[in-house]
Amino acid sequence: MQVETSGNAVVTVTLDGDSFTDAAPPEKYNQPTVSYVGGLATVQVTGADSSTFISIFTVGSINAVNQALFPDGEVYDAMADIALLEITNSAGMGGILCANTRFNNSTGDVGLKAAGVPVAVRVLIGDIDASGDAVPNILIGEGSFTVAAPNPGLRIAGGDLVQTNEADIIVAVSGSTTPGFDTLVSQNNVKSDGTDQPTQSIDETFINEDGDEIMVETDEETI
Amino acid sequence: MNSITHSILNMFKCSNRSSSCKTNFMASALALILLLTGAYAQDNGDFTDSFRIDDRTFVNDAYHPLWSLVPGTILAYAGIEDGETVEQIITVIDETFMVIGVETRVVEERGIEDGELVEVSRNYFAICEETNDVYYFGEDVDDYENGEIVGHESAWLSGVDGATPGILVPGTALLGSRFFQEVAPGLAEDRVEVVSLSATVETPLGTFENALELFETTPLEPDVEDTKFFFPGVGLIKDDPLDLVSAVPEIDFEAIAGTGYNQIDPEFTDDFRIEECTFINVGRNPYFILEPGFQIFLEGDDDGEFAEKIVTVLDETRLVDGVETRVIEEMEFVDGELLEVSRNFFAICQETNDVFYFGEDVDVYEDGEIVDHPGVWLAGVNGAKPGILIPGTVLLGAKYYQETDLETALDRAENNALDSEVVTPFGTFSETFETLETSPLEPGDESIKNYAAGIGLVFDDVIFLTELTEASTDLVDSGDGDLVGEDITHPDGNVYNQILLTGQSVTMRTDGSEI
Repeated sequence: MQVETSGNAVVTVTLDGDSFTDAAPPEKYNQPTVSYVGGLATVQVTGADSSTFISIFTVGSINAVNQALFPDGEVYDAMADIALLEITNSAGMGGILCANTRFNNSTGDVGLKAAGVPVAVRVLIGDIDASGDAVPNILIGEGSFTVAAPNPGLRIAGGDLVQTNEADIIVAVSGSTTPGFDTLVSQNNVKSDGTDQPTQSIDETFINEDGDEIMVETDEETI
Repeated sequence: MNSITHSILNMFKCSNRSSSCKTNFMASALALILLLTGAYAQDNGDFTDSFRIDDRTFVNDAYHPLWSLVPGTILAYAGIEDGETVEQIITVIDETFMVIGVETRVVEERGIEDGELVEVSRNYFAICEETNDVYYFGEDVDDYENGEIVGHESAWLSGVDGATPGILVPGTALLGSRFFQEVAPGLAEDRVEVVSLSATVETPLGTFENALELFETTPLEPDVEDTKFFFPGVGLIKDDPLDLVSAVPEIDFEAIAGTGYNQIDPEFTDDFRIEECTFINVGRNPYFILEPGFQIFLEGDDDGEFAEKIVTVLDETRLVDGVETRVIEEMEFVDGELLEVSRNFFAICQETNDVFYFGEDVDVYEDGEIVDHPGVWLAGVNGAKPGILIPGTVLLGAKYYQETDLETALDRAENNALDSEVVTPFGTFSETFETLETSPLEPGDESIKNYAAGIGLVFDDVIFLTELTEASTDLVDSGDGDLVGEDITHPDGNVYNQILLTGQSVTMRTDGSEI
């Protein structure tokens, strides 16, 4: 998994203790001189503003500069697995680019929690899947998507938002019935190994933090 | 006449009989470090009597616009008192004297009455390199009668009997400042207040416009008062009845015309002689940290609403009025909703350690959208000049403008206290520096701020410090991460740094490019 950030921000990456594995050379990259730790990550951002962009993804054959990293015929997942991206103490964000990210966990909050933090351009999420007693979230601040750009808004890229634990997805804070987005767009995607992910239909229930149902307009696009 | 009335230094004591001095000396350059256990406890009420000089560096042969320590400098004074001629000669001599670990410059003063030598004092000074304050470390005094030494009245020395250095003249003269020049309990306790930066002073040499006026008293002689006048680039020009009558180097009145203080407001300082500053945009003074990444969090109850403020020193600069300033972002939230984001521009004067405020951009939010930009101002625009947010040396009573835009921003501060205790969720601070802020644009509105040494703002009207993030010069703030690539240029043109997680957690900060 790779986290890229530009603009102002302090970024903390924390790996879940239960899934943590010590540093070791990668099994599926030709990179014996580098050791990677393993585990389900939570990424926290503070001090961000509208200049800040964050991307979470995997390095694969379609986005790596060094193509020698990839052994011929090697099959790999090509998705970044993390539990949560949490953005606090921030005036805003420019963009959140996690099309190649699958948010999942069986405990705690899962997904994107950026309550009160408006995002200027777009939010891309690969998928969110809560299991066990985990709680799925897509929380961003009101007043988002004010900057005109191609493919703006909140977009689920290749995912279906189906929750293994059948939990409803929180999209608004307590006391609010207004999510930080007007429309939830489902679109197609390409994983970092070049695998296509078609646009999925999304048929989930959305709620606020109080459990009140929130009506969300959805749309489907192929780009 | 009392002892203060005629004195020029602490020579206050010696100048019961006006004295004069002469000497000539050579320079020797010395930089010294003073190591004291310095508390900031003030026990003299309204006047600052304890100065943060721990770990300060002192020089003893430097030029100072109000009190030069360049050897060979001579200032001669004369006047009439009670029908007698009185003279005094101050000479910066080529001699140093060690006082509490500081090699001070010896300045000799000779007092003459009706042509007879009545006193010779040796006074010890050094200039703080960080703040440009002139510190007074003590004096030896020889009283003369008929050419013979008959006493040593008023001698005092820092480090002896509880005496500590005082400030003779500050690096930055701020109206209202009150401080002790001598801190020798029971022996020498002269203290002054900066009462004017607009004084007109007539002397036999000429007229000085916009001079600094110090009003002097001493608790040892409560009925005694004195007034002294200083002019930048000259030094002491009048100490009634003594007028400056000659100087070495000679005064070029054409050259100094218009170089006095340029005050507009008679109460709050608005001329900080900024032209004498070299500015830096990374650094700190005791009460203000201007280092990228430093961040403080404050919160509290504001009339039933939960108020939060996050102040972050950004890794970003902005050119304002010819100075590359650093941007500090302030975000204010009420009940969790973003209310205001301001970007404030600061730089520190290297010579005085004053923190200057160059302006701000303000965005006011409602429901996540920017709805207004109140209070925006910039030095160099609309006649605004930089103001001082935090002086390099904090003195009780000092009054100064923090913002100077006549139409939109005129915040000004008065130093209320130096030892206020503030209890915050982050900790208890027993010796904070407290300011009372007002603005002529908002009559009646007052705000109290408290600053703790080594941290900065710990209380702001209704909100208290809850948390802070130390500044870091590293991209890796904490945790386990290795910087494995720096300033790498990606084929797409982006330049980035690369950090490899080596443990369970890492906290990183951007440096303006990427991580």
